[in-house]
Formats: sequence, structure tokens, C-alpha cells
Amino acid sequence: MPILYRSGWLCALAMLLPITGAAESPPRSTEALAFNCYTCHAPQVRRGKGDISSLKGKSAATLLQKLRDFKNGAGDATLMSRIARGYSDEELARIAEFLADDLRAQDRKGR
Amino acid sequence: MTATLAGMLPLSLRAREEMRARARVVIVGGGFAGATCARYLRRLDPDIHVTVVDDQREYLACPLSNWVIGGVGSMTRLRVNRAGLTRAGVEQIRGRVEAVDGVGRQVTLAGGRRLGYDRLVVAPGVDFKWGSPEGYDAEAAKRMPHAWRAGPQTELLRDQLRAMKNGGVVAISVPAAPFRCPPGPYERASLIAHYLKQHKPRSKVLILDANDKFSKQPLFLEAWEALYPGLIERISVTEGGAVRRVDVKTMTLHTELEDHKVDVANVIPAQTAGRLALTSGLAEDSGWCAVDSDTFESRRMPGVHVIGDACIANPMPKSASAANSQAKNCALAIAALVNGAAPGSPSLHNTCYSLVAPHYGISVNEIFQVIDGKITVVEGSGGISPLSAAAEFRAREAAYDRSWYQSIVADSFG
Repeated sequence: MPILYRSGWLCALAMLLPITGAAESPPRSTEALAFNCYTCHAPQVRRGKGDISSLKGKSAATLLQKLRDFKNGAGDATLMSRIARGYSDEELARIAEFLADDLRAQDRKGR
Repeated sequence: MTATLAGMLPLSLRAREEMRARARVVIVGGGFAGATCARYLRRLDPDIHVTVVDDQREYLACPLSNWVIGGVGSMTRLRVNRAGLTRAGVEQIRGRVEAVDGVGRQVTLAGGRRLGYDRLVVAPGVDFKWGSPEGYDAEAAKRMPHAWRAGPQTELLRDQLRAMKNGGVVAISVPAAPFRCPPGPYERASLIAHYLKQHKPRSKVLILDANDKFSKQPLFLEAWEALYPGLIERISVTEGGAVRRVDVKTMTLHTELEDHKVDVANVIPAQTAGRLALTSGLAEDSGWCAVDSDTFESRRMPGVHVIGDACIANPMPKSASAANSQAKNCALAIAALVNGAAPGSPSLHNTCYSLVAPHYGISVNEIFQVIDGKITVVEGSGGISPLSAAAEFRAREAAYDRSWYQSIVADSFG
């Protein structure tokens, strides 16, 4: 009887899994997602022509549009298309929002 | 699961204040992993007291060291000072950690000084397995440089190339994976070929490889064919290329099938996690440290996190970029844990550029998530630069390589 009971519970869980997907891969935290951008796009670096582009002063909407273009292969990318495909649209939106806010805050602090 | 439950327990404001007041993180090793972790911890929670212990005053970064060897960069660009860490409020101690007491939560420095911690981060990079190949040790490295740690060894290899006669053979012995910087030996072969092509065109690079496949292989092969035809020869492990023994006196590298007498021998020895990881019991028999993929906490010693080259984070490579990403995720986990919260789910990333010629760059990238405790490449993401790309594309990636270095140094060291 306990075995039956347990397997019934497992079945219920198995049915739930494909819907939520939560047990498999919990959402990646926004900071964890966005901090990775700063490896190549560190805001304190002065950037010139031919360098990896600066993200400073760009709105969340602009950044999101760029990221979506890269993901869809529309942007003029060498590497960013390969990177953008690693994130869901929802994650890209969170990244864009975070970067725009964070860079604005850092700029204020720097002045 | 325990961490998740703990994170949901209501903590009184006072209990939280007390935890914050005494949160003390000690980081052993001020390379890309250690420095990044220190800076991001201070950013995430300025109440955390962060101390970095390293026995070197300045850091000599590896990523551009092949440029120096190939004569396309200077040593000064490898020098990284850690003043940015001080500006971020990180305490720095110059010294060598000799012992870790995981139960008493303290480390002992050479000379006897002790530092207590709430969380310890061990980021010692790699150490060499002397004797692998046989006959190769610190003494042999003075004649046959490994140049796998930036510094005098880098200059020694560069100078040996400059002194070599036209028509000489430069051998690069590659150890079996895993080792620091998987594309490194092949970028090195490329930039040495670049130097030889200009100054000693009758010479040759001979890669004696303990592996069959290598990082960015199709891109390197395509570039070698185009830029350095006949200049680079590679013998894979299946073809008998693994170097088993070296003889310094006769400058000979012995593989199972052949004896290669060469003019310059760059022997990259087998590697393990840095010494402290081995002596403190953090490493597995393999010589590397097993960690929890969500927090980079050691599987052997609670309260101790291992990041960078020393940890086992497959399929992430042992690279500065991977170390930088691991360090940020580790900092996020520690900032949560010391504040009694549950760590979030990590997002890990790696980008490695290689320079094949001054205006010819190639890259590889991966985006990772953690699924069921395993670091997993996000399906459809990452990969290598396209094959048969236009010269303009390669030139852009070469410029991005320089820009990447400047940026990762700033992001990691401030």
C-alpha cells in the first residue's frame, strides 16, 4: 500500500513537471545573467572605433531590440548572435532592464 | 534543498544584522577568479569584509602571453596591478596560505598568522605535475620553457625563438586535457609560425599532442592552411604524438614511436589544481576540486568555495573568462548565504578569443545553465566563429580580442 501511494505521488509529480519545468531548471537570477555582460562590456573601459561596443547611455528598449536582433540573426554580429541564443526572450528583457538601470546608477556614482 | 528551506525561514532583523556584521570572506589567490569574486562581493554587499591573500605583489596575466612569444605584444601589457581591489574596499594581504582549517573556519599563513572566515574562496589556479612527461621538472624548464605561467618563462621562450637559427624546429608538447587554456597551445603555434614566417622562414613548428581533438580545431586548421602552409606540423596522440620523456641535455622529446631532436622545446606539463587545493584536501584523486555547480562550494569541505582553473566545472573550460563568470556566480551565492538567503540559479558564460595572426582572430563561446546540479550548455547557443569567413570578419575578431582583454582585466581587477 505505501508503495502504491508513493508511485501515485510520483505520477502526479511527473505530470506536473513538463508544465512548470521548475524542478529541472529554476529561473536564472537577473544579476547572474547580466553580470556576464560586463566581462566584455566593462563600463569603466574607454572604448574606441573597432572595440567591443559600450553599453553606457542606452535605454532598456534599445538594448532589448539589439539583443533580439542578434538572437534572430538580424544584427551585424561576430559573436553576439551566438551569445543571444543562450537566453529566452524573457531573460533578454530582464538583462536589458537591469543593464540600463545599473549603468545609469554607476554613471551617477562616477560623477 | 536545505539551502532553499533555510532561505525561507524567517530571520529576525537582529539576527540578520548580526550575520551581516560578522560576515567575513577570505579569498586565496588574486588572479582572474579571486579578484572578480572580491570585487563583486563588495558590490553586492558592502557590509561583507573581503580579504584577498596572494603571495605576488602584481599579477601577470596569461591571456596575452602568446602575443609576447610571437613578437606581437609586450610584457608590460601582462602586468596587472590590484589597486582597483583596494579602491573597492578589499583588504589585501601579501602572503602564502599554508593550511585550511575547515572546521575551525580559519586559514594559516606562512609565518603563522591566522585569518578567520565565514566563507573561504580558494582560487589558486593551476600547478604543474613535475615528472609528467618524465624528466621534466623546474630545472628542466630553464632549458625547455613551459611558458604556461606568464613571467620569466614567457620571456625565455620568446628569447630562445629569437636566438634560434633559420631552419630550426620548435616543438610544442601538449599535455592530455584538462589543462589551463585549451586553445592556448594552438594559438601559440600560430603566433610562433607568424614570427618564423617573417624572420626564419625555413623553420618549422612541431606540435606533439597528447590529444586527438582540440579547441577551435577547424578554424585553426583553416587558418594554418591559408597563412602558414607547411610551417606547422601536428602529430596527435593516435599518431603517437604524446611526449613520454624529455632529455634536456640532447634537446630530445621522446614519444612512443619517435625521438624528436629539436632546437626549441616548449614543454607544457600536465597540470593539477594549485598546491593549496592539494595540501588542504580539497582536491579529488584527479588533482582537481569537485564543487556544487550552483554555489561552487566544495564537495569535500563545507564553507569553502573553489573557483577558476582549480575547480571541476565541465563542460566549462579552464579559462580567464570562465573563471570570471564562476567568480560572479560564487559571489552571488556567498552574498545570499551570509545574509541567510537562498542562492539563486547561476548563469555561466565563456568567451575565448585566439589570435592566429595580428589581424586574424577567432573565437569560441558557450552559455551555460545548471540543470539538476549539472553545468549544461544551453541548446543552440555558442559555438565557434564561422568557417570561410571574410578577412574583414577575422580582423574584427582580432580587434575584439584586444578589446576583450582590456575589458576582462577592468571587470576583474577594477
